[in-house]
Amino acid sequence: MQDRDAEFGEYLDSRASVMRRTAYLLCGGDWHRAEDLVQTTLTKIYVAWPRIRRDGSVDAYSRKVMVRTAIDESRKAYRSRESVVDELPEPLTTPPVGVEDAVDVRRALAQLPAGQRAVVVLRYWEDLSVTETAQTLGKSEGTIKSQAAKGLATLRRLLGSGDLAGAGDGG
Amino acid sequence: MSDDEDVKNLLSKAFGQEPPLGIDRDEVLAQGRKRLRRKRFFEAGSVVALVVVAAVGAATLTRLADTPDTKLPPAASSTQQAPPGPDLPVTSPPFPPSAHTTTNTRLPTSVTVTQQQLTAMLYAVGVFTEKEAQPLPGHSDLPGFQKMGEAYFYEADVQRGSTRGYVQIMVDPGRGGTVTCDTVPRPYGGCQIRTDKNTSVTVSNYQYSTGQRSVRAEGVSPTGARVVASADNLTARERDAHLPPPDAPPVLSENELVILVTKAGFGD
Repeated sequence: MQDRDAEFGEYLDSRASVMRRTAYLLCGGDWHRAEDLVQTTLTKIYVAWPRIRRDGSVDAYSRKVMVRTAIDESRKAYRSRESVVDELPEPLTTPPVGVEDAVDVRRALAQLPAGQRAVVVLRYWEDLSVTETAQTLGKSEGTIKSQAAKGLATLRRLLGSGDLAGAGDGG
Repeated sequence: MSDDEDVKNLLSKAFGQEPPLGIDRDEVLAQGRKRLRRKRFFEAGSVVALVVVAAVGAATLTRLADTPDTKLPPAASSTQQAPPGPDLPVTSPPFPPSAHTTTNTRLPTSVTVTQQQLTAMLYAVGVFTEKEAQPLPGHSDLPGFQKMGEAYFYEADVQRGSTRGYVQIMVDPGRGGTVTCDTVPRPYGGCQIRTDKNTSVTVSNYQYSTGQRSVRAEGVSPTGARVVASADNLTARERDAHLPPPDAPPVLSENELVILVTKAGFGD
């Protein structure tokens, strides 16, 4: 048990900040929820530690647990910031500057359904391939491509971002 | 710059002013150990019948709790002494899957039991009091039964005078089946079956090279409820702090665990 605690503790110290940023994006821009998500994920990792350590799959397992927990929790409780609106708000005509950037990107992310947001985060923040993303979420590659494209289209529209004009999930 | 990098740059803008990390390493470890203990407990299929004590029986149970161990003999039917098992690195008894048989006996569907009622019934038995039960590390709420699926789960650090230890109780209404020493988690130091008013209870004890000692009782009531209760000579707080166990027996005796498991009833 002490070896497990020592090894796991080292993993936690080295990865908690990185995990929290991913969790933050998955939660649609909420630091408190992100830390709750990371804590839940880490406790699940602790239980599976000997097996995933032996298999060398700690990071992959961590990612899978975090994403699936985030999606499950978004389905359990209604949160107004994550509700999918029938009509999207008007896109910004002028790109925001500084702090306003963060708020607007957060708001745009929060507008995505949890599943689409997870795909966008895994594909573009975590740099996973379509295949890896599909395996993490337990979905087909076709579904991943479709959800990524829809997610980016929504972000593009909400942010009026020229940076996303050419972005898409070609594979 | 590739399109994918454009998206990544956009996502990075969402962070803004990042607050200090508020994740406590010790808290995560404590929660992880707790989750691991529960997982091992569930893997044995050890879920428990409802602990219900009628008011009339409470006084009798209190007397039994005060009775020295030697006055409550085991049933003559089955006593097994296993050879000493290997030293185990785990801090709680391993719980292999058990082969339960099902019965048609089930609890009356009209009875609704809440977690609070279960907790009150537990303390009414008189084996230990609410004041003697302390919350586990990282928890501020007083110990009480929690619902997990169809079963109920209780855990606390119990302090009685100079003795203390971790106590865990699982209750599964209507689970039924039979209990034998073949399905008790191994390796045990000893296992016996006791019979009390048509209820059979397996009582097993464990001792590890670390000095940790545990006792466990499992039974199925006539109403078809399965109960498993265990007690250690080490609290969860001490275990999380990696403190050595005291040279003392578990905080609850075998007889007290039998009382917790067997004094059950419904519909009163």
